[in-house]
Amino acid sequence: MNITEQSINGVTVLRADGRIDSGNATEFENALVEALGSGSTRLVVDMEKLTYISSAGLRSLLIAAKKARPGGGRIALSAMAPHIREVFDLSGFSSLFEIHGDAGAAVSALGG
Amino acid sequence: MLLQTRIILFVLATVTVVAGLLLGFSALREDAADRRAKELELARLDTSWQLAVSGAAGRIDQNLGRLAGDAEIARAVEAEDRGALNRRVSALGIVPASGTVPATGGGLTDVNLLSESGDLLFSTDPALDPAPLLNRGALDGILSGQKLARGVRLVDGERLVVVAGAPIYAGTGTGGGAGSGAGVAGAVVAGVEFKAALDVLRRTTGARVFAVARNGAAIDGETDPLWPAVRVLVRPAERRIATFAEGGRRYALASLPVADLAGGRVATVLIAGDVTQAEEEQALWSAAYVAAAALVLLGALGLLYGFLRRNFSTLDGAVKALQDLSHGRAMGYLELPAGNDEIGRIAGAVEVFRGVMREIERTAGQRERRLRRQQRFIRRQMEALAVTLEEEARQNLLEELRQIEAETHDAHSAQSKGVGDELGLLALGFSRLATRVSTQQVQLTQMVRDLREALADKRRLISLQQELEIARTMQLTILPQVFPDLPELDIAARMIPAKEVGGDFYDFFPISEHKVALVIADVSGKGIPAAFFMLITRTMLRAIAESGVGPAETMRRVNNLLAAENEQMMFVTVFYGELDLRTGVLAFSNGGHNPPLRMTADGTVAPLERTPGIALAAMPDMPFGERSVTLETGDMAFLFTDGVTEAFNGEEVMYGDGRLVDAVARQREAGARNGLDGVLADVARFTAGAPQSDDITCLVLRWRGASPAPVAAGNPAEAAVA
Repeated sequence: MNITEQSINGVTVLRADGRIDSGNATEFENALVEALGSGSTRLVVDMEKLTYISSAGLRSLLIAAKKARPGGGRIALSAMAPHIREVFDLSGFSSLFEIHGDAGAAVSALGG
Repeated sequence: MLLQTRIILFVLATVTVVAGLLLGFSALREDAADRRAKELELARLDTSWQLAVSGAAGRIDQNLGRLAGDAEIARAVEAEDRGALNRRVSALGIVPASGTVPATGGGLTDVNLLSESGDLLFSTDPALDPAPLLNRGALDGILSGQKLARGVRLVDGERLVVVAGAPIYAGTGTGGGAGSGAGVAGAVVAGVEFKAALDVLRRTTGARVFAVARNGAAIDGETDPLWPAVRVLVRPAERRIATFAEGGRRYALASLPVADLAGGRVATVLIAGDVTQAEEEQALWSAAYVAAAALVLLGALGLLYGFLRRNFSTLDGAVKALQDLSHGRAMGYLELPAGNDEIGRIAGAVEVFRGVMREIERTAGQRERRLRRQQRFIRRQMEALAVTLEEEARQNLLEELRQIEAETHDAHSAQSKGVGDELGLLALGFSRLATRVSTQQVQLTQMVRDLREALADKRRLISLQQELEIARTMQLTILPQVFPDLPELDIAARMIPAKEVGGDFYDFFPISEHKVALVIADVSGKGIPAAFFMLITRTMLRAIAESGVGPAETMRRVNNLLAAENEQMMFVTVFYGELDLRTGVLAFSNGGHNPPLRMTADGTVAPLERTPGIALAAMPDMPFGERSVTLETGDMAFLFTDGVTEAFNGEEVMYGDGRLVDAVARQREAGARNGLDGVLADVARFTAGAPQSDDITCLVLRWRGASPAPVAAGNPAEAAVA
């Protein structure tokens, strides 16, 4: 897994590529928490290059979402591959996150 | 240049200078002596000449006596009677006839008779007014009776005559004696040929006599064979001695100018004496003198050389001994003579020095032996030390030791250098050893630190493993090991834990008299927290399910309970179903879990319909749906976790739903246990030993059909517990 961070129109975009599993979920979680920082940070997690995400990765997203919620921060996900989308659909997490077709749309949706 | 040579050259130069000076002075002195000898010789010859003149004059005197003693002549002179004189003189026959050449017998050539007043009374000269033989001054001497004049006179400006005069006394022949000056009446003067004197000289000296006129013209002796040689040496005015060689003989030619009685030089007499023998003797003496001097000189030099050689050989010996010492050969034996002189003292000093050098060498040898012993000791110690080092360092150290030893042996040729360098090499070896030991020390320290860290890691690992063990134990504890033996269904389940325990679990329990509950779930997270979460979820599910509120409500309640205190944000996907044993109706609710597969009797495999709902504990107050399906006899339900479909092989390829469906389809004839094993074997074939990252859990249920009679014989719950 490799994570890069970029800021587009005030919206932080995290790009994760490769696999997110129980071995590196903590790292993913730390990256998310750090990107959120404090306050009303708007965060897009772009999954265009992501090949696999395990339940540990879902949990990292859940933690990030919970942390963002009190400060008014928002998290959107973008550009999921079909099998990643299937994981979100299966677990019902699709209903917990905003999901967009690409990063640009996600950024726009967050007001960037 | 050697000192010896320098001394010899110096002495030679000095001797040469002294000899040169001596020879010079000697030559000067000899020259002076020669001059004196010549003067003496000239004086002797002069005397001889005077004697010769006197000899010639002596012959005149006899005739003078006859003339002066003749009484007739005396009277005629006294009377100044010229005629009487002429007659008497002719009568005596003493005087040659006029104009005739006088005989060599000593006859007079000229006669003059003069009066008391000096008048010429008689002359043999036939001239009309003949000149007197003597001038007035000489004549006065005779007339006064004081002196007899004799000498050489130039007559008529061309003829040389030896003349002598005597007084004529008055009364001569009558007894009047000479000495009564008053009695002088006149004078008689006679002359002979000049050659008469020369002849006398020849007789008295035995030498060859020549005479030249004042202008150098030969007078006498020109017939002599020596004349041509003499003639070139003629210096008429000089009184000297010259030498010349002629006919193999050497001659000394004395030149004596002859004075006229009246004064002035009128001729020169040359006397050539044979000096060959004398000169030869002198040359012989000179040669002998030079030879003797040279011999003495050479002898002296030879003695000096020998002396220097003898003394310098000792010095040479001392110098050689010193050179030997300077080249480090103190052992070379050389006998040096003792003595009290400087050389002896030098030899003594060299001997002492050599002794000191020998002592130093001996000490150096001892020191070297001691050094070698120390070196051997140190080498052994270093080898012993090397043994304690690790293999590579030890080999390096021993190699360096060998190298140092080799260098030591190389340096052995130069002793002193060897001793110094051994210490240097040893120091080098020690410094390398020290570096090596310190490096090793650092490595050891690092290793100890690493080991300590590794130990800590191991402790952590052990505690982690213990934790995992606990978690695994908890997981295994909650999993039903034995299923009730029910006639309606055949059931089998297996959980293959990942290395790090995941959160999969399954459950099967009765919830009422006719219903059993099926659960398969996957807790997000691992380890003890996941195990606790699993335990809590299972307990809640069992508790709420038994209240009989149905699958959806059960799920909703469990979700809310779990989400209420979920600081860890864990969640669990759950498939929960309730199977009515009487009808085969399976009512189920799915909380974000993989939908189980259903295989009908004809082998068709399809997932169960999805129901609304998400993973439990993720979010409270979430709606959950519920569906039901009626199982036909022979239907197989295959419940599984994502550990099955997301099993990866070595090429990072997921097993996936398709392969699972196919694998399940191949179990159409199998029982629950065999079907389970078949599918898991297929998964294992696929992964082919690739590391398992998640728990793999399956539960297989084959529906045998509803029981014909109501279930009365056994309580399924009791059976499950059993």
